[in-house]
Amino acid sequence: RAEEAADEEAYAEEELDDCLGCHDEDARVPVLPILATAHGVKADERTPLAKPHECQTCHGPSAAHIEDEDVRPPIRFGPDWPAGRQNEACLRCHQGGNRINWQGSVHATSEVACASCHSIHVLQDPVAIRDRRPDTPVLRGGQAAVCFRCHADKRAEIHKTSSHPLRDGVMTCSDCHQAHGSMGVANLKKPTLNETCYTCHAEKRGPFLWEHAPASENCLTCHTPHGSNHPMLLTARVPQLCQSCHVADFHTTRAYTALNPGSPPFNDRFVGAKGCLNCHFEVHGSNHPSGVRFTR
Amino acid sequence: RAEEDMRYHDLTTNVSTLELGAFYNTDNAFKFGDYTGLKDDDWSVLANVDLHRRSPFDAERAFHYRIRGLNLGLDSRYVDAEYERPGIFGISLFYDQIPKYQTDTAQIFFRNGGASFLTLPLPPPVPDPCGYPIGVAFPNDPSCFKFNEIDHKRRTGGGEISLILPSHFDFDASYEYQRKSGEKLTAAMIGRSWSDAGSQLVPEPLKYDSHQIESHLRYTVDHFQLQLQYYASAFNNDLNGLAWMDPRNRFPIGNGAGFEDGGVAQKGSMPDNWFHQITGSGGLDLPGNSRVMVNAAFGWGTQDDDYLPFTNNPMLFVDPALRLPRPDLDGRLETRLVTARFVSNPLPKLGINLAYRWNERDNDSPVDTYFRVLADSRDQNPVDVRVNRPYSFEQHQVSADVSYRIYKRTKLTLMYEWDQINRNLQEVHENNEHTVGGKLVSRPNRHVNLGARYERSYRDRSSYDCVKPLLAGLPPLTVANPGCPKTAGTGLQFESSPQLRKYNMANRRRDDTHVWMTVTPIDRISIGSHLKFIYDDYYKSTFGVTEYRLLSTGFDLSYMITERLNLNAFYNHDKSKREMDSTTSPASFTTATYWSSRDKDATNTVGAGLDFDVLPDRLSVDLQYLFAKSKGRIDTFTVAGPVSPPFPENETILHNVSVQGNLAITRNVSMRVGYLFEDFDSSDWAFDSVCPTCLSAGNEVIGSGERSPNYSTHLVWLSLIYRFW
Repeated sequence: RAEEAADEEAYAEEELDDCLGCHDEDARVPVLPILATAHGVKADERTPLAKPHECQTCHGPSAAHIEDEDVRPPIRFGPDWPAGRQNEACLRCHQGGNRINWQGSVHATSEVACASCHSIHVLQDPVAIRDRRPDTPVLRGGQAAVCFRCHADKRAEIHKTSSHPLRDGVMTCSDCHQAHGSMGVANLKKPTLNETCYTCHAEKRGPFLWEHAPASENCLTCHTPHGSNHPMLLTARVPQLCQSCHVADFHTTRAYTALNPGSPPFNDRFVGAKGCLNCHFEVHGSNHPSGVRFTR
Repeated sequence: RAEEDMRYHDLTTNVSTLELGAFYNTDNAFKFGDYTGLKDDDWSVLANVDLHRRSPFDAERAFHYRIRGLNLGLDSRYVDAEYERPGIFGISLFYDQIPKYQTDTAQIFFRNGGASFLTLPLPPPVPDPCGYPIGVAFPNDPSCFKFNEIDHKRRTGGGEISLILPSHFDFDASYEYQRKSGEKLTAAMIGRSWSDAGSQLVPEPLKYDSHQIESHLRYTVDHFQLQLQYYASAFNNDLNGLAWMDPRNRFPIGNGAGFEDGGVAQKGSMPDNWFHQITGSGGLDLPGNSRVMVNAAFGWGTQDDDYLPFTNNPMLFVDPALRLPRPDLDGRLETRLVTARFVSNPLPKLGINLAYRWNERDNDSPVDTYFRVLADSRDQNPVDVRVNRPYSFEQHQVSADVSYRIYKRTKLTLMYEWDQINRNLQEVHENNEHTVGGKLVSRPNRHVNLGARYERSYRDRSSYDCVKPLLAGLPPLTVANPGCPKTAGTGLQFESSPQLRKYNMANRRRDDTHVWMTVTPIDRISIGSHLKFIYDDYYKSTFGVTEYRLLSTGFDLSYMITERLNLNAFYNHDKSKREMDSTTSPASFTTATYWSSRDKDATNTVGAGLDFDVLPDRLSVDLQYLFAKSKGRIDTFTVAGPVSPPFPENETILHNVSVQGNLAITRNVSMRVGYLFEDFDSSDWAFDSVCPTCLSAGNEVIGSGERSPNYSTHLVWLSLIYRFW
């Protein structure tokens, strides 16, 4: 009880005014915009400002800091402070829902702090910005730009020959990924990778009469999701991609080269245009009773 | 004081904006319009709306609403509206429209592209040189092919409601409707001879509807959280098959009995399907800085779209005795997934992370015998019989990570993972993959942040049974001489070479390395770099993929030159190489029949941006540049060495430069003016110079004649923005 009393003494009273007295509109890093965000609603009992200690709900008991600005608040946010301690403050309120699986997730174990991605003292958290205008390319800001700060290889991939429309802002990372941890692989929103793909490509869910086993098992057997030099986000060129798994008699075993008959020489029906898909178009599965070869 | 009050007001009040202006695009560029809608050299309306209001932070009756409209004058428009009583309820609606412009260079012979029955041009007496009947020589006249734009739109609308309930419960439910309409290119089989079939690329109408419902009920207290979720997806395709007339007008009739005009053919369309899923998730904090998290998802799907007939060609003989075994698949699918994770910090410096994941797809669709009709070009034959193969698999994954904080801000993690997958009806029944690795994450001081991760995986498998798919796909006793010895022999039947190891099931050794570092020598400068390298060695594969390498490296620079001038730049290089071996004679291969293929891809991406507050709060300018160049190359080798000449290199080059300025005219009115130049050059030997009628001498395949997209376009925009609070 004595400890609790001591702890309580460490908290400042009436501290919102105290805090905003210094962290005002002229502060180098303004904190005032939090008053115009979800965290600053006093009428919502879940928010820090509705709680008795207001700013100290997140930043910890700060009576000493208010007395002497050189004494820093015990909980601080930003790259200079341990991610785990920062996140404890956030998780006290945000442990439910999508954050149930945060602990042990790849971001948690990689020492990613909530504040690494989120900014709550601004009018608009960049992670929540959805901006698709052709005149404001994705690299200018918004959620993808936040993710690309660490996932730089993905930023390069979205500029490859074929990609999902992240570059246009039509899609963003959280359309597929749940950055706070999930039951899926790679922090995907749905329990499995294929189920995540089916949220937009529901026609490929099946089950089909004639199934293509790798497609039913894992879309990534043939596709790479962030960007590819080949059409349709394929991991390799057709027909070589198909020939990786189909070495039977007839045309699957031919060594397709630029010397094939035709003019130009690569105008071979198995190579030109869509390659194998010139005939076997329904590679995700067919429901036609005669479609065993995925041709119809 | 008034100025301070105004600044306080601006910082603590959500601003609403109305923006109206115009875009002008200088060139017709179908590809540039992909996803944006700006495909024509024309003016477009620039209109954006953001109405945003929130009650004062200390209001007793708090509310928040926001109505946004983006790209309202373009085909890529987006609108959403949300209203919230914080801590009580929220409701939101949205509409999203995405244009997908696939190609505007497709050349199609049919005049009614987009219809569900593709018909030939009218016959004489209408004077159409491409008219019906055309004769044996078809199609040799390029003028008979007309350019078609192949595109579609995805329109999505929906809404969500969320409620904060008493006793730490909350609930939300969302509904989403999606309509995908337009066209895509597809392959339509045509009879070429009795024993062979050809194909043509034609437009297929897209008439997809999907409905998705998702709802959550949550219970959240300090040390325990629970979430129950229901998800449902219904997919409906208004297209019930695509039919077409044979452009050659020469359908083979009978088994070698000759040819006759007037054949038709048909293909199936994506079948309607339903899927439901119930998921439960829970997290419980345990004593000793520990936590356990459990998730379980059970899903079931059905697919009972009516079958089309084996053939719709009235000229073919269909044996009444070989009728469809059922009117539809009556497909049934169950998915089960359970994950459990235990994390603990038994000591301040020690962390333990144990996880288990069980994932099962159980396809319980009925298995029947089907007497197929090949490409609607030959009579039904009891010999041409297949059995459907409903695939199922089950996966177990176990992982254990132990981390130790070896220094104040330095953590070392050692990890192990076991991944087992069991499949039915495929060559490999079971794969086991063991991965060991370590990760070091360190921030030795406030200027340096670095990390390194290395993992090595071994994947092995049960025996490779190359006849298993074949036997599963044919009725018993129809496989004359099944066999899958290490060395194939004449007369043995198998679906693929006994020496093939499909890469998703093959033995594999993987090395995965990732190193990254960020240095902040002074507060104004941040330099980051990364290197990622993956090497896959399919060390027991004679045929199939034998090796894969991926290297990705790059750096980032962020430099605050002054308080008002920021520079950022990045460079990324990645390259991959994929090697595959095969044989031209899988049944009786010799060294002389070996061949191999090496696919190499490389991409360089460079970007730079400059943000300049020319006059604080009055005028800002930002400049962006992006360059991306991708190259792809395939080399083929035989025992005699590399085949020369190789395929031409495929290349895609993108330059994008944009500059934009924002000028505040008054407190409420500002002007935005911008310019963007984008140059896109691409080449692809599979499409460029490949005319619709020149895919092989016999016209077995009638192509679409698509070309790789190339454009240069300038986009300028000017708008006035009205801001209000």
